[in-house]
Amino acid sequence: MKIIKYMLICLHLLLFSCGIYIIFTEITSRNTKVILCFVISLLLLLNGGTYLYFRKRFTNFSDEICNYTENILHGNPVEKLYNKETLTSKMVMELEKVESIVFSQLSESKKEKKEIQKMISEITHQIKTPVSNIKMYCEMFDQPDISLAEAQKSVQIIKQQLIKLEFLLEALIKSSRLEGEMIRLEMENSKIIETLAVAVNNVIQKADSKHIDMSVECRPYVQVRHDMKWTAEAIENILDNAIKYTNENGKIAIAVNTSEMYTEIKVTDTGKGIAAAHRNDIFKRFYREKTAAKTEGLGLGLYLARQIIHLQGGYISVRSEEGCGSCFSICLPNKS
Amino acid sequence: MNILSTNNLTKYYGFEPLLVKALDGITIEIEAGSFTSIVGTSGSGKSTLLHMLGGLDTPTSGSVIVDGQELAGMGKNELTIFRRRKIGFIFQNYNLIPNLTTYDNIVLPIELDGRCVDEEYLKEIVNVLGLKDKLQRKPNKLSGGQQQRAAIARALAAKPAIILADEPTGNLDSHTSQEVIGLLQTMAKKFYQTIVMITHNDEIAQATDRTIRIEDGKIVESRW
Repeated sequence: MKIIKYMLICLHLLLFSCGIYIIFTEITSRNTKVILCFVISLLLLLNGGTYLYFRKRFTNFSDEICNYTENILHGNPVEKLYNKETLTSKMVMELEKVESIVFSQLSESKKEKKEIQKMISEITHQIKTPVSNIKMYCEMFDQPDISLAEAQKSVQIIKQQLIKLEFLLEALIKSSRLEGEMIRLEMENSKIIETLAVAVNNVIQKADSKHIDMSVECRPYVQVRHDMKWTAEAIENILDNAIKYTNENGKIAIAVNTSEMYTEIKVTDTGKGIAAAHRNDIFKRFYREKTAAKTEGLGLGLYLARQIIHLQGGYISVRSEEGCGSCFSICLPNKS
Repeated sequence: MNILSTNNLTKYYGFEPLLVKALDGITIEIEAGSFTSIVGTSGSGKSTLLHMLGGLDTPTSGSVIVDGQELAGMGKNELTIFRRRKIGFIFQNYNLIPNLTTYDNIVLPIELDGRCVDEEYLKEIVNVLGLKDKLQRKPNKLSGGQQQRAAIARALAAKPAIILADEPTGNLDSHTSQEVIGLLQTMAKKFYQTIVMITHNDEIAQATDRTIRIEDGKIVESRW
């Protein structure tokens, strides 16, 4: 653009000086000189006029856009400009789109912040009970006439409360890691079977204690770009969940399939399944199945699992039939 | 905030006594940023409804309001521009233009509007959709699944506020279907797009935020 501008200026100067040269030095009739003079000044005037006209239009256009931007910023849609085949209309609609995207992102993050605050207050509230229990039973030791049986009982209760406390703290740490963007993914090409081995090893004891039969079907060479540590945690959470809701002597099968775009890790259990109405809820933070109130948990495992897989560009889907079992599919992209 | 809403929408074909009621008093509200699926048997009026929402067809009575604008009040040209800037359509039969390359097909809606192609974004979608090596091919050199994904890329590339998909997984096997839905979900979340999708597959419908069931032109169930 700049080159064109300078070339135009040069051309103008050249023409102008040619004209002057002819007027003052060449031997021509007076009439021609007058006409030439006239033409040159007309051209100059015309050029100046055109320049000013386009400049004015351009500044008007940018003023208009600035004006509408202010409007949009204040939340007043510029309806009269919708759906016109003009540059202003195009820009206004584009600006409004950007505004709505930014606005919804903002409200989303606000909502998230609120949720975090709620979560923190909820967990801290739950921490209060075991702490005050421990305190109460500790005070009992101060009494001089405490019997041995009573003391033993108190110690037992304190132990129980400490286990509860530990569990809550673990949950708090887990979720804070997630919220503070502490998940630093180290993506590398590695074998899925190794990740699976880590996850399965961490839950096999729980499965054994419920006599649940676990099977893994995975070709040893299947590789996918993923973070081993976090993916193992996600799989572990899903397995943990499956074990929790599967009755004794049940079955959990893990299978790995590769397709064109995703590698799927399928976890099928013979548990109690998920009612259709709750299938979307299970991944929400703090969601607990009403009938599962007795089983220990905070409703963070599946949420965390989904976040981890999402961050790696994958997704988790679930199929389930109530009473027959559920099937979780963890899908990781083959290349990311 | 509702981005799409219809009020007592009807579409009749023919006259009494051979009157066909394709849509019979549909009133729905769809929230911005949500993923809605429309299910129902064939001939129940799903596609008609989707075409109405996208301004591809005019209703017999009732109104469609998209992003605060009433579609019935628009002229033909206005409607065309509106569709180009706000709505991405994924057709069941892809509707890719056979003599353009995949790349040209994908950027066509943007170029029609005289906008610049956001190459970086385009690269991202194409990468995620696994079409990176297929961009210079003509659509007839692509497999069915790849054509489907090219159609999805085209709908996404212009970053429309609303994506209307008519059985985007109609011709795909169940696993690829899951992949395509997963993709749509991820993308829509990232760019705050609203998706309305017709499907025959209950399993896919379950993966969405909301399911609307239509029978004989009426809403029979709306599950959140």
